[in-house]
Amino acid sequence: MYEATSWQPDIKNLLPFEHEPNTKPFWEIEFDNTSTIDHSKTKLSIYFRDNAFTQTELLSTQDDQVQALIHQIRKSKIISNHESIANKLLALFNFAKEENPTSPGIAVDSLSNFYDFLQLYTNIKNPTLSLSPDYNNIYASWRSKEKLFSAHFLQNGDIRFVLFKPNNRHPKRKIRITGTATSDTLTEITTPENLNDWVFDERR
Amino acid sequence: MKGDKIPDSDNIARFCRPWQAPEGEIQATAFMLRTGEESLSVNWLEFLKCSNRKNEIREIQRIYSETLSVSVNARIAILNVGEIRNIVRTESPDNRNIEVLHDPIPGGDQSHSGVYNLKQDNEFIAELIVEAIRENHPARYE
Repeated sequence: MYEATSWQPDIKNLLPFEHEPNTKPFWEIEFDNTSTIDHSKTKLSIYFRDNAFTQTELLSTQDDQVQALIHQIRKSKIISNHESIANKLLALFNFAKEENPTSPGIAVDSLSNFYDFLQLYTNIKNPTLSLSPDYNNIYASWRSKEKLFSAHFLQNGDIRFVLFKPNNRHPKRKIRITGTATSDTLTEITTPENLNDWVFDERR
Repeated sequence: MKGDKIPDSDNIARFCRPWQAPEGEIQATAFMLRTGEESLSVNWLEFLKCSNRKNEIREIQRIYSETLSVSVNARIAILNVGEIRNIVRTESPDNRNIEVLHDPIPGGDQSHSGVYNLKQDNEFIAELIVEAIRENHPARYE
């Protein structure tokens, strides 16, 4: 039987989105498939099975929610580099928990924001992932030679981003941009052609 | 002495936790403040009066082992004071003038210092500091 009050990194028993009759999820997140995100509608149903013969169990802790979302990324058919990203997230979660078992590991709302981003930009290249010091938010970076794009996934659905790239007209200078956006407006601000090659894979 | 400015020619070490240095690569999150922090904690290398960088790193690792929980994946970022001050002043939108001040801990780490005039969760300045990382070493004392 799963111990809901203790942290367990093993996610093999988690069966997200597996709906069984006559069961009610404890909490719900519903992912929007359209090209824009309405965070007010964000719900996910997560169910849990402890063995093949017993009923589903409810997930109640934030740790469970984080691990379920990581599992969801791992299982995704549309997210590029989904296995690698899930492995990186799990490693960060374990690092944070090792040092402080009572910490959130990864902030679930930040991870949910990152998941929305991954679903919108399915041609994303494999980012380097780290955690912010205060709230354990996801911080993703893409570097290529002189270029950098980093995104801090805040818990309110915003993304604070930093873009550094060479200034082709002034080779000794760099273009440096920072700002706040949501996933669905990010490429309106930082035009996609500025991010191709090192953030987005043009072949996909 | 507490509050002394560390010369631009000197160097500092920053402790980077494993989730701030995935696969050994130090990220901007290592240079962001927590809520309530006034400065970014660092160690002043020249204060240690070691004969070379290898011995300075060894001493920093020893200090960490006495004051922090140091995972095998934790890292040390070495930064030059003048370089980080210059890149932040010239490249930040508000021409931020950061200061690196000696901040010894009474009865404890005497090389402890702080990078002041940062703001919480300032991704832009943290990324500028990443550009100025000179060296990256393991933080664990073996």
